[in-house]
Formats: sequence, structure tokens, C-alpha cells
Amino acid sequence: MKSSVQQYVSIFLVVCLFVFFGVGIASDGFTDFDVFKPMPVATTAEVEVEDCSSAPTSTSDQVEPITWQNERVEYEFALASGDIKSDAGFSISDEGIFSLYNENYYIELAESGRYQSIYLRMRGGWGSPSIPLEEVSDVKSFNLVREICKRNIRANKYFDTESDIPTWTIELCADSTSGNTSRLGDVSYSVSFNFLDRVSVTDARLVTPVVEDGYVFDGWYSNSDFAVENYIGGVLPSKNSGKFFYYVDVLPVARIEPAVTVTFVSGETPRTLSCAVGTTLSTINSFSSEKIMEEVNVLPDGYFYVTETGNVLRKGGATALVINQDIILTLAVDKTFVTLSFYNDGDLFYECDFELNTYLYLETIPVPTKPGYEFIGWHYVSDGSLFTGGTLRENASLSAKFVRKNYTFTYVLTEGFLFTDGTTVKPVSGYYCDISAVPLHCELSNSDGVLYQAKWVREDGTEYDFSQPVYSDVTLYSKWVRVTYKVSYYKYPETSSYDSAMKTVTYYPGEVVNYERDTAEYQKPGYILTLFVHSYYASDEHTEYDYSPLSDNVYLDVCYEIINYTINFYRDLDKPFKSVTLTCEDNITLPYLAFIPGYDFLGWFYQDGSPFDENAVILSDLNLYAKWQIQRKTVTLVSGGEVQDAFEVDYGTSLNDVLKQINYKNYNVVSFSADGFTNENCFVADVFFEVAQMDKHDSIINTLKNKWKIVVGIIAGVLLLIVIVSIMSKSKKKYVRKRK
Amino acid sequence: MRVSKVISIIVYILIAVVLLGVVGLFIGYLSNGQKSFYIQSGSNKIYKDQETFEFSETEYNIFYVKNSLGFTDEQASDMDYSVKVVLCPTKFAEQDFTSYIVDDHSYSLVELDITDYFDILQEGDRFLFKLNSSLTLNLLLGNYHNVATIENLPQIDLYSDTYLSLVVFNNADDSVIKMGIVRGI
Repeated sequence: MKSSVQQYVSIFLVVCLFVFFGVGIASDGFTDFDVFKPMPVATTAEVEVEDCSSAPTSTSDQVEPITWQNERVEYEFALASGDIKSDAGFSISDEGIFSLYNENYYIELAESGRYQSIYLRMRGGWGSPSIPLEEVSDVKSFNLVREICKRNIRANKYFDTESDIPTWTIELCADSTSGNTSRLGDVSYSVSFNFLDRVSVTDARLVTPVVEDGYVFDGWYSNSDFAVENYIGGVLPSKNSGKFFYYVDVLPVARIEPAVTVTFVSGETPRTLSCAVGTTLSTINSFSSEKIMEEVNVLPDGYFYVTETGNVLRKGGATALVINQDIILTLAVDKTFVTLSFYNDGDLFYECDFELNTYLYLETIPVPTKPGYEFIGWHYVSDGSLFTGGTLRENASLSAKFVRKNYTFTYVLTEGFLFTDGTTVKPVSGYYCDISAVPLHCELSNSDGVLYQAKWVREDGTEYDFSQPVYSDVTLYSKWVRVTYKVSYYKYPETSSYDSAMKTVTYYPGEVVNYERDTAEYQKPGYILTLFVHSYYASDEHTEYDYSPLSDNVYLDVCYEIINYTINFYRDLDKPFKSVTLTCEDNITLPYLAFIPGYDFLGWFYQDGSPFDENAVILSDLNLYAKWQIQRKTVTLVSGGEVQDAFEVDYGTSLNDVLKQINYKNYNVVSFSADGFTNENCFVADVFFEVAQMDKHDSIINTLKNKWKIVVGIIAGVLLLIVIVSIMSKSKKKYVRKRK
Repeated sequence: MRVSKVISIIVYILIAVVLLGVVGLFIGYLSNGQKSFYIQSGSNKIYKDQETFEFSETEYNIFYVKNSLGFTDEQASDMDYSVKVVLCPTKFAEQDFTSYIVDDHSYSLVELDITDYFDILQEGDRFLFKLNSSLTLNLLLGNYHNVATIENLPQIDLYSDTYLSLVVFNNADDSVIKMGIVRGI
């Protein structure tokens, strides 16, 4: 009995082995999972739902112990980065790096199609000791794995030949074994279609299960690139030979948390959505077809949602709002006006505030003008699109656009012109008229050979200025004037433009230009006129002008030669101590003169005594003279420490001269300071004299001695006056006597 | 006797008395130490020897030598004179210093002519005199004997008292006016 039991067991193991290898061969094209064989994924055509019945509804406290078998157990689940909460004990980064902090287990991350699969593996592999799962320190992680795992519903199909292709049946199942069936209601849905036929099924995604109150259903999901919705109304891919393997994973994600409602009030009919407690608005966007987030993200400037508690939800700011209770979001707007700014050529042309939602007719906006251009409408500054008016919802900056207009020039050749004798003639064949030139150039000559040319004038006779821009059609008429030639003179080489002729003389054709070398206006200070040559403006040859009869305008460069001047510097009057030769373009460098004690150098002067400016342009020979000024020294008379008098003397004044002047002031000298007193008995610095005032007697005598000429003059004058008076008196007496 | 004769006799007597008085005054003037010339410094006219005279040490002192009998300026300035600076042994004798030894030779302090050590500029009736700064006896005698130092000489500031004299000679009559040199302000 025992041996028969062993035989049965052996047979059973052999059968299992064959089944095992058969599955391995059958799953040859499913290379994504090869490295993890064996694995408890669906290997038949049946839909397999993993057993997640023991998974708790909460991930934190209610952990159901699971006995870890001494075998390699792999759990597969699908998730994307961000799906795992950070408090789950492990995390997955945006780059797909998975982290678990437990030394006995490790987790591998692999990618399969558009899913990332995470495998929880025990270190040691086969034969490793059994470890109760509750001994794993971070139990939460396992709970989360199982929680996600329970949602995997896999439907796989294998086709060996095309004839084997059955009618596709996709069963849409939802966690029928998880105990949540009652919350999802009837979960038996299926959609069938022929593999090669044109898909004519209804969209499986439209099949919505009945969801128990307090839960939300966020749609059906395919787990492969073969998505049902991609082939609705199209032809399914076909393959005539070889093996076919298509599978469809449908992952109904059921939210089983208590729901709260979010009500959006943005129009007449409020929209209400349900979501789990703690959900953010961005999460709502992931399972709701309402696309609230997108709506929030395109809110116009000034619009926003506001909660009942006053929280403001603006464009792009919805992710941070966590929904913990029923909430009503009401659309509001900051302002009641919108501003339209109209710009023309970068300048603000017109600006106006309108009430929000006003319907604007463009006819009410002023039309800008631009000479020579046609206005083609207002365009948005932001993207250049045409602004057509309509309901105003937000501020806008608009720019005027123009296109250039075209105008027509019409030249009218008048019938003729008046000679001086009043005869009118018409232009006849053979007269030159070059209509290809603009402005039109016309010439004709009378019977005497005198040339006339057309000046183009307006209808009113005013001359047309071709340099002005054109803003309208123009009609010009010929006005016949006698042809003249211009002879323009330019200063060479400094003339820098064609229009800067220093003189222009008008001649008639055939005349000879006057030789004007001595004309004063051609003279150039510091230069001597040498030649008149053809200007580079009109000729490549800079050759001398030959004064032949004129047949065209002539442009002449007036050439000069610079003059050398001699500057003589005189230190003394007899002969120059230095001479230099300079031109008017040179800067003069004044010579250095040695210092003369007692004298200040005042500079260089012309012969007439006026000072020479070293920045002056040299335009003649010059004689320059050094000018010195003797320094003045102060003689101070001191007596008993008090200053009595002071006067100035020239540098080098002798002691005798100084003493004479002191004596003249009626002072006797006692001593004087030795500083600045030279061996030549001269003073070269300020000097102090200790003096004593003469007494009255000496002062009178001294004054008489010093000023005796004045005294004698006064006395002589008085005596002369007495004599004159006496003579006059005697003469008068004689006259009186005679009268008597 | 006629009255007129009496009056004339009285007049002659008075004239004689006046002449005698003038002669007496002139004799008295000369016997009072007055010289035939005088020295003018500022408004100060020096007619006779001055025991002390203050000289400025840092400045040129100006002196005019005038003929006392000159009537015009030209006559007063027409002077043939010379200026000397001499040592006064008597003043040193008051300090119990009368001799000194140089190269084992003993020298008695005499009236040495040390004019060359001073800056004297003579021009016409005017001469300028400037003291040598900080002149000591040791320096003076050392220069005189051409030795660096002379031992046992007292440290005497020659301007502190009348150790020196400025002597002006009238070369016409050998009359002299002496002025004891003392440092002034």
C-alpha cells in the first residue's frame, strides 16, 4: 500500500514535471518572464485571479499572518512610480529604483511591456529556512504588495495556428475572490469578437459595473499594448503562421476607501464627483473623465475656484488641495473688466476697459493709419493670430499689421516750351529722351544748338522732390530749362562727402572754366594752392584739369601744399638763440630756458608785447621773445618789535639803495637781518631792519635835505607870487593915478 | 668920557667874555673825553668810550663814523678810520685768568687783535659788524694758536661780558672810541 502510494506520488510528480516543461515551451515568446521561471502567473487560457482574499482593507494594522513556505514564491503586480506611498516601508523612485530595508528579503524590479513588475524574493533561494512573514520587520510592505496583487486579473491566450484562433472573449472581472464583490456588484462582463474580423463590438470600457455606495469605479484597464479600444472600428492584426500569443490583462482598479464628494460650480449645473478621503485633485484627474485638473490648468487670467472655507484654487495650483471631506469649489473671477491694449508700431495706440464677457465688434475700435501702408487688422502680440473681436474674457495686447501699398508714377512730356522769342516748339523724333531713367531725363536742343532738359514738376508747377517718400499716385509734367553744367570745387584731401563742395559754379555747355587759382575763397591758411585736378568723386584718374570746353559737370579737387614757417626764439634782443621750422599742422614745443635767480619767467611774447599762445596754429614766420619779471622783496622796518613801515624793492637791490629809502622815511638804521644779504651787499630775500625814528630836529633837517628841491621850489613860487602881486599892485596904482 | 666910548668898552668886554667862554667850553668839551668824531648807531650818537654796548648776534649792526667838526654831510662823512676787535685782558683778570699754556709755552693774555674772526664790512662812513656765533675763549685762542684745544682754559662765553671791545680809530688824529661788546637781544 505504502509502495503503491509512493508510485502514485511518483507518477503525479512526473506528470507535474511534464506539465511544467510544457508550460516552459509554450511560454517561449513571453521572454519578459523567462528569467523568473517558475512563476505563478497564468499559464492557461483561463482567466486567473490571484488569491488576495486574505488582504486586509487597511494596510497598517490588520496584518494577516501568512506562513512562508519553503519554496520560491514570487508575487507579481503592476504599478507605476508614485503609486506606492512613502509610508509603505519601501519606495520606488521616478527612475525605477526600488528600495526595501530588510536584510532577509530583497526585491527586484523588472519591466514588462508598459508595466513594472516587482518581485519579493527571500535570500538564499531554494532550501532557505521557512520564515514566518510576520517576522519580517517591515510588514507593511508586504501588505501593500498583496493589496496591489489582489487586483491583478490576467487573461492569457495561446494560439498555435491561425485556425485555432477562436472568437476573442475578454472577460472583465473585478476581484471576484477578494470579498469585495458585493461592493462591485455584478462583475460578470464579457465582450466577444472574432480575431480577424473587423471589430464591431461595443467598447468594453463602456461597461460599467454597479458600485456599492461609498466606492468609486475608475474604469477598466488593459495590461498589454493590445488595447481593445485601439481596434474598435478597425481591423485586428493578423498572422498566418507560427504561434500567436496575445493576452489581455484587464485591471479593474477598485477604490474601496470611503468616498467624499467634490462639487464644481462653474455654470448653471454643478458637477459632482466622488473620490476617496485624502485624495488630491490631481488624483481625481487620473480616474475621472471630467478632467477637472485640465480645466483648472487652463483657467483664464483672473479666474479661480474658491472653496467654502475661502481657499483659492488658481490655474496650475490644484495638486496641493487634499480632499478630506465634501467640498464645493465655485468658479470666481478677480475682476469684472478686461483691458484691451492696441499697439501701432510698438506705441500704444488705443486702450480701453470692457466689462467682462462683453461682445466686442471690431468696427468700434479706431483704425490706425500708416502712410504708404494698408491696415490689415489687429493681431495678438502673444502668438500673432488675428483678433476678430467677440466675447471678451481676458486682457489682451494687440498689434496693428500693415502691408505696403503700391503707387503709380506718370510722366507727362509737355508739348513744347517757349523760346525767348516766344516761339513754341514740340519735341520731335531724334531728341534724346531716356525714359528708363528715374527721374525721367529728357533733353532737347533748339535750332541754335542750345540744350534744354526737362525738370519734372507737379500740375501746379512746383518742382517734385524725388527724395521724399511716396504716399499717393504721382503725375509729373516736364518743364524745359536750359542745360547747365556745374563745376564743383573740393578741398583735397579733407573733403569727406560729395555734397560738401566749397564752391559750385554754373556754366553753359561749351564754356571754358575760369582759372580761379587766386580766388580768395579757395585759399587755405597754412597751405599754398598748387593744382586743380579731377576729383575722385567723378574720375578714377586724379589728373590735372585741362580747362577744355564743358560738356558735362566737372568735379575738381583743389590741391594744396603745406607751408613751412620759421619760428625764432629770442632770449635776448640781439639774436635768436633757437629757430625751428613748423607747419600749421604741427604743435609747437616752446624751448626750455634756464632759471634766472630773482626773476620769474612770464612766457613767450610777440614783438608787440602780446603773449604767445602755444596752442595757436602757426600761419606765419614768428619772432618770439622771452619775458622775465624781476621778483620784488619786502623791506620791513621794525622798532621795538613793532612794524613801523614796509616797502618793496627789486630783487638784488643794494644795501645803499635800501638805506637811502629808509633814510628818506626819516628812520635811522640800527641793524638788519642777515638772511638774503649777499656778499655783493645786495638783498635777495625779504629783510627786516631794526630802525629808530629820528627826533623832530633831525627829521626836519633830513626832510629838507632830501626834499630841498621841493622846498626851494615852493619858496621860489611864493616869492614869485609876491613879486607878481606887488607889480600888479603898482601897475594898478599907476593906472588909478593916470585916471585921476 | 663920552657915553658912546663907555658903551663900546662894555661891548668889547662882553665880546671878550663870550670868546673866553667859547674857548673854555671847547677846552672843557675836549677834556671831558669827547673825540674829534663820533659813531652813530640808529639815533644813538656815541662820542666817547662805551663800557658796554649791546650788539645783535644774528643781525648786521650798522654804524656810521662821523666827523664831529664837519658842517656839511660830506664833511661829516669824510672820515679816515679803521675798525678793530680786541681782547680785553683786564676783564679776564677779574676772573683770575691771565695766562695759558700752549705747547709748553706760557702765554700771557694780552690785548689780541682778533678782527679777522668777525664779519666787518666797511664802506665809506658806514661799517657793518656782525658777531661770530657762540664764540668761546677756547675756540678763539685755539684758532689763534692753530691748535684743537688748550687745556685749563675756563669756559667763558665771550659775549656774556665785555671780554671783547670794538675799537674805532680816527686815523687822522689817532683818537679812539671803544665799545665793550655784549650780546644784545
